[in-house]
Amino acid sequence: MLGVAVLLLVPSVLSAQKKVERRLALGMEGAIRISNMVGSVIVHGWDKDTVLVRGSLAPGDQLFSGGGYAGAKMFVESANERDPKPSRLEVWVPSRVRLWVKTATANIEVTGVNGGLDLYVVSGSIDVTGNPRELNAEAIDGDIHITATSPWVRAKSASGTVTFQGASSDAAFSTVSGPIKVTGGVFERTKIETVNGDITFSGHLDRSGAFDFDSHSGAIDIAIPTRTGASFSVVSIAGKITNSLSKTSPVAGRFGRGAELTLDANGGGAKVTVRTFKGPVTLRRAM
Amino acid sequence: MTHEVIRHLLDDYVTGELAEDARPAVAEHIAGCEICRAEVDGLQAVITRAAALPKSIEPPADAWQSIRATIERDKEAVMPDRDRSASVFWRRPSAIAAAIVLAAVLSSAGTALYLGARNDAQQNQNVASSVTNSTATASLAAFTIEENAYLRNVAVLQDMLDQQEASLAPETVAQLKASLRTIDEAILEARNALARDPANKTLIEMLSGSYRQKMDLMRRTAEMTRGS
Amino acid sequence: MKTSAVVADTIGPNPSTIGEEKAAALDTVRRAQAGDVDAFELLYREHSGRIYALCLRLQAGDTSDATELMQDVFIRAWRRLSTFRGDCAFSSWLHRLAVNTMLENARGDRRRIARVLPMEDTSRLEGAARSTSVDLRMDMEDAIATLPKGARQAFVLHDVEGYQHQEIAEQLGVSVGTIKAQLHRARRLLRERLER
Repeated sequence: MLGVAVLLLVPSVLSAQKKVERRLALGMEGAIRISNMVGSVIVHGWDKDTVLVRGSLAPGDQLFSGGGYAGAKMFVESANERDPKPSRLEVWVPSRVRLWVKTATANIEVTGVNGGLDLYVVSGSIDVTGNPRELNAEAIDGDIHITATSPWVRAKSASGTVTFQGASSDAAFSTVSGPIKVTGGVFERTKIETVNGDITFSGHLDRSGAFDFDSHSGAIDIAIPTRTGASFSVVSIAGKITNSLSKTSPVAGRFGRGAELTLDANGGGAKVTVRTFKGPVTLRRAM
Repeated sequence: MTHEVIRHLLDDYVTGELAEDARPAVAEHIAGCEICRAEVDGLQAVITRAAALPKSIEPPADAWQSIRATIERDKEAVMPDRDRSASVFWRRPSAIAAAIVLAAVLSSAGTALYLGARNDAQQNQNVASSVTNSTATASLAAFTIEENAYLRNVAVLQDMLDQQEASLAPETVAQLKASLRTIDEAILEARNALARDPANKTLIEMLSGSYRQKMDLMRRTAEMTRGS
Repeated sequence: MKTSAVVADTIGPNPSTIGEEKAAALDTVRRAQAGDVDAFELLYREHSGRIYALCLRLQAGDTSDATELMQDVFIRAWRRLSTFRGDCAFSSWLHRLAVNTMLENARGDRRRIARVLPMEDTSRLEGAARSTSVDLRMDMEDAIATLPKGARQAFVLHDVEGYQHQEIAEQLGVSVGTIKAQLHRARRLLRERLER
């Protein structure tokens, strides 16, 4: 379906880092895949139906690129797979494309691309700014930083940090041990889970929204704006609940361990469910 | 021996634990003492009835399921020094540093797959359904079924990871194993709590969540190391 | 264990039959020790009745507490299976584990105290109801359930299960004198309640 025309670059004998520059035609609603294992991938959105890539390649590395108007791809091939050296790609793409980027340790930065984003790193970092209509960012031990408004967001890292500043109607953030920090708003449906990372949430909650916070031993700190209506249901099997939103005290859980708390703030509204095994939970007003 | 002394020996007399040489004196006293005789009769009745109680009482029929589930989970837990995740999964840990097989990344078939697969992934991750699906596994019976599925899936995923030709940097490997261990410890803790409190819906939901997280981490790792 | 209270589980006059049975039983244990869950299930099927009876009486007749305790016992048994060396009967080892588990659980949780059968409910203690042996047994179980914890433990372990004073004292971590005093108290209370 996609015609793949692969262009070979003849490596220059003299250079240390080798500079390359290429252009490809790509439709505004097209798709592009970029792959570079080590180094960095920086992507900007623009309003031309062209892809421009400027690369600074490690000695011996080659940049392959090709594709048609509907879909394009480019990847860096290392001179030595066993010991890849950093190559840097800076790419301009039509702002509404679907963008897929995959690296190992290379950092990914995406700005102003508003189509769908799929970004995968192993231990590089992911930074996204803009208003993508969908955003899926995954890392194993890299950090993910998102400053964006997007109807649909998924950000997962096992041991890296996840931060989100923006708004979303359907967002899920997940780590195993990395901290998760979510600010901004308005949020409608949000699911934040960790095993032992710390969760900090201070955002605006939509009245009709549903919010799930889950941890095993990580702390959960939720700060809501003064006049926001929210109905909280907090269950902790063996941890402590601190409520600074109202005078309601948590009741002791079963067998005298843990605690439970149900409260309506400002007449109720957004449905907030907090579950933790033994992490401390704090509910408070946003400053 | 006086009545006062003998009164305290009656228990042992009835149960046969009284010293042999004291028995005649006690027996003789009992023969002539109404109070002690009544006491002995009463004690005898209690003790006989106690011994006649059924030694075995059928436990509830579904009790075994929960035990089995815990045992199966125990067997699957990845413990820190477990060989399986150490040597087989990371076949060539230090020989190849930060290498990922690139060939598979760029097949045109892969691209088409990517473009098509996006929608499926999105549907599977619909937050609306995951926020409300907690009620689906809130019963222990339903949870046991889910748990068995988890055990099978984890085994399959582990095999997949074991079979990956590619490998990751040792630091990443270590980090990943640490993450899996963190999840497993959390699972174990929640399991133990659930064993003590099998009707606890919150615990069931937490365990379901942990299972999902572990499978998700293994799946995404397998995909990343495989290329796509 | 006193022979009078021991279930006659060595019925079978033929020594070689006994030997075979024992060997088969040990084989099941060994298979379970090797990780065979189905073998462990056989052990469960064989021993759970006795363990459940013990748990039920120790937990004052509360079936959900008793079920939980029994499940705990078997899970613990699975995890500690490698410590069973075959130097006593498996049932004895399991029994001891059950008592230990009960004690540890009681220490660990601040559970509500045993449910006490309201003494106003005397319908089952009336003379007429005593005529059948089933009802007699019900009276006894209910009465045991009303005993205070220490007395109940001592009574169940000695008079029902057949442990010796010394064994019970060791397991419960108290002196033999305490056990005897608790037994004395248990029997007195039971007599009162049963003769009402």
